[in-house]
Amino acid sequence: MSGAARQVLRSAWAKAAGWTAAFYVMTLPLLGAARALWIALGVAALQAVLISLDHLTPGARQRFRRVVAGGGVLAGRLGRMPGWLRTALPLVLLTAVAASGLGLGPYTLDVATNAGIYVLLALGLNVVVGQAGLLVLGFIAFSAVGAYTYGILGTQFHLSFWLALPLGGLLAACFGLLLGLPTLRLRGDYLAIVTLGFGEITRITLNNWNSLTHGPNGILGIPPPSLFGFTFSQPRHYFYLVLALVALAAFCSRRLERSRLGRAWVAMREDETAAESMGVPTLRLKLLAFMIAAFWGGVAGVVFASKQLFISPESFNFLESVMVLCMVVLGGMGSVPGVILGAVLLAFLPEVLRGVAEYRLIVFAVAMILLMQYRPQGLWPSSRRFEESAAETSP
Amino acid sequence: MSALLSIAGLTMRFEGLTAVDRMDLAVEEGRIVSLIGPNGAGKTTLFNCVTGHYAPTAGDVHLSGDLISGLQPHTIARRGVVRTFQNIRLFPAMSALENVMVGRHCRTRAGVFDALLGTPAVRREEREIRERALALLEFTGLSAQCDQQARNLPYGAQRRLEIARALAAEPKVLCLDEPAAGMNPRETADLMALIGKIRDLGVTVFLIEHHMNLVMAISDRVAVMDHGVKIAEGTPEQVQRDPKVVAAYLGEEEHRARA
Amino acid sequence: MTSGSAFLQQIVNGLTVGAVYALIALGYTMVYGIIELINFAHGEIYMLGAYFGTIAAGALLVAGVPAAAALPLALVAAAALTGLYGLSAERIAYRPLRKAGRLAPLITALGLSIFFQQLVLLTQGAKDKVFPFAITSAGIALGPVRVAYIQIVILAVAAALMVGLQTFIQRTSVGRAMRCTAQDPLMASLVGVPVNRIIALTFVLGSSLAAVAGVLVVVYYGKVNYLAGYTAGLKAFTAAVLGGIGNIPGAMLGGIFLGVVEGLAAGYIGGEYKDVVAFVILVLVLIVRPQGLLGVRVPDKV
Repeated sequence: MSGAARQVLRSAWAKAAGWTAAFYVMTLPLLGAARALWIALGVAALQAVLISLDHLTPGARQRFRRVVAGGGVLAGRLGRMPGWLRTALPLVLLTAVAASGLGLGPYTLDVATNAGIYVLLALGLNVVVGQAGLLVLGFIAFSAVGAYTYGILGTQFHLSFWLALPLGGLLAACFGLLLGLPTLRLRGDYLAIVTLGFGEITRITLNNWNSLTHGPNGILGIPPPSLFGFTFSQPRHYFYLVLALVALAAFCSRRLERSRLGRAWVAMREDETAAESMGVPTLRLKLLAFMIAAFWGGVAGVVFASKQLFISPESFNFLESVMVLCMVVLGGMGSVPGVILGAVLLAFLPEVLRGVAEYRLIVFAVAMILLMQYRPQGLWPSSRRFEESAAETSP
Repeated sequence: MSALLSIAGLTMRFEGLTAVDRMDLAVEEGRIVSLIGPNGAGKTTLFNCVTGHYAPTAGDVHLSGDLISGLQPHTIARRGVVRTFQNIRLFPAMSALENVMVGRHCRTRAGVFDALLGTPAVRREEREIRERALALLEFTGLSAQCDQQARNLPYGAQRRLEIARALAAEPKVLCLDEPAAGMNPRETADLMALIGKIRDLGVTVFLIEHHMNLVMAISDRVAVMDHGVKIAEGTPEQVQRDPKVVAAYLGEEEHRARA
Repeated sequence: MTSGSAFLQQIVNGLTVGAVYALIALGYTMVYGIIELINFAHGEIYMLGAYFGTIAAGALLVAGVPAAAALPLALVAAAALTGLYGLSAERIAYRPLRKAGRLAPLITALGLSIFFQQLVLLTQGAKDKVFPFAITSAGIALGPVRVAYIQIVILAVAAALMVGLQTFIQRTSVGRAMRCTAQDPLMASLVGVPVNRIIALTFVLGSSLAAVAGVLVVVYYGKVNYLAGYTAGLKAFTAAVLGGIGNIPGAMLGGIFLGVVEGLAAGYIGGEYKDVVAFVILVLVLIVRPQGLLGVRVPDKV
């Protein structure tokens, strides 16, 4: 072994020792001496494995990273599908899911319906984050608007669910207009923070405006949807309602993606100044994306209220906004199938981790951190987003 | 002929630096007007004021008599003043064709509901956008590259693509910011021919350039800026002979050489 | 108490809270200034500092160290441990993403924030953690206003640290290196500044300051909870934005201002809406004057 290689190895071991000691010290106060020692040993073992790997198979780790990050294989292959297949496949999937609804038990249907509501939220957020490229951190506030619209109008004025559905969406969209007008000219990070602020202001206001919203006690006795005398009572009913809405939202997203509007959004994302110079009214289009996303958020909120039959401000907290954002990022921003995948995965996570429920959030957090390290474009990115991130990171 | 684009008393000040100082310039319809001057003279700043990226500190810009200075860039583009950029600003991950299609945005109308409903009118409009874009790519000699990603195109092709994209917006005045930068003589000659063809279409061309051969060969009028001020204006021959222009470009050395 | 003295009392209380916000805000502003990252995990860092201080103080007491010595020792321990956490976060999670655009670091920061929160929840439980010894609530009377000794300590420590930091940044060569890395990292590296180490130092400094704030708060209120990081973090972030994100004196100014305004609001509007004050200020600042009070607006180059 050459002197230089020996030097590299020595410094690697030194760093490994340093990190092991650091992790021991860091976890000691929280976990106690015994468990901290286990953690430290685990860290040491992991580093030993990595150092050995690097020494015995140099470059393998980097190659692995590239494969994981670059594997747009599935997207690529699907992108080359003939047109008829591309339209047929989602329809087939939709039929399959609808058919399965007949056979599944009520518990599974309930879980699936909840997942479906998240999918709806994620599809909405995708319009503004994935397609228009704006960072929004307080999205759940739009859901709250929809939910409370139905909650208040449904309990006090017996507003029909079927009227509340579009109304909740429209009110949420108006809310989006009000929020967006003063804020959408802000730069990326700042916009994210402002939306976070608005989200929290919404929640706190809902929590304290007792006369309108009953504050932290929430609104009880929200009427379930009813159609010609038939009232929704079983999970199966909600399942099909949500499935229909998801199909509609997905269809609308795809249509917009391929339109003049979708093209303008992509241009805006890639170079806002240039787009503006070509006559693309960027502010107006950002506002439009924001309002469309808010609409779907509101719709999801109405459905949520009609299913839970009870709402309170606690359901619309910052963590929910983060969750929906992570669904979009996990699946692949801007990609409708990706976003659906991401939402389904994260929505089913609590089910998968049923046995270790208290670890759900920490697992989620670690997963997101790792995802950003190894595959930031998400699991199933749209080919365009894939190219864009390649364009961004290459010199 | 009346001035299509008239710049009057335009001043742009940034926190103590006056980049453009009381600039007057009239660009007549159907002409090719070039703006030259040493680096840092304020030429691109002037462009930015004309195209709406900056709101001028003082003075104004009129297009066919209508005031356009201070308006948003996209509004000015829609009115008919479209530009290219000194450092090429294409949409990198979009194909050449898609780039040009975006240029058609301000001349087309399909909105959200149109897109969702997919009416025959919308589909027809999309077809037209595509055909126009292909025609423009052909006009600029880029037909072969229509499906390639903009960032993968060779430099000269990227410059031409930017021009094609700008033309898609049907400008009355096409503002080119150093279109020949970094081009070899062969590419520059092609560019000259292209600009000539553009003028033949009836588009007025307002350009910033450093390539003297290009400027002198194709311009109808040349204006010279230095330190934010217009120091000369006239036909290419007049400007070439103007001692102030020579001094601005060659600076002190020329004086010292003569002394 | 007359309304005038109530007003002054609120000011005093507000200044104390504001000093804490300022200490935390410094961490946000320094990190944003140097790598343009909003470190969402910073609020949790503050919370970790509070927990470490409490645990260290408890351990020291058990070991027989007198309370008067245990407190400053616990402060140092908390600062050191939290500094390690900040360093690890930077090195393991943020550094690989330096060139990765805006979204990936933001999601990572959110993930880290949840991670730290859950880490404390799982290891220390959801109940409040109580500081092992109570601090006297005695104080002195300054006219109509009563200032507790602990408040004086908080204000003094915060002031000393802020002055110290400002001196460090302005007068030392390392501080100069930090300033030039904040302005132009590429140039800084070209002139020989060890940019990676400077960035790591920024994280360590910011985390330590937040830890001190955490310990001071847990001493003041007697207890801390794993959720404390979220609210305090957002408020401190508001303070940083208010002062001008990236601007160190701005963070100090913003913190004090926010603390005082919040205190007055709590006194006159009512406690429940107190939390809204910070968010409303945040939204207003970003809409009306995004560069904050002391920041400079940088126009985009076309």
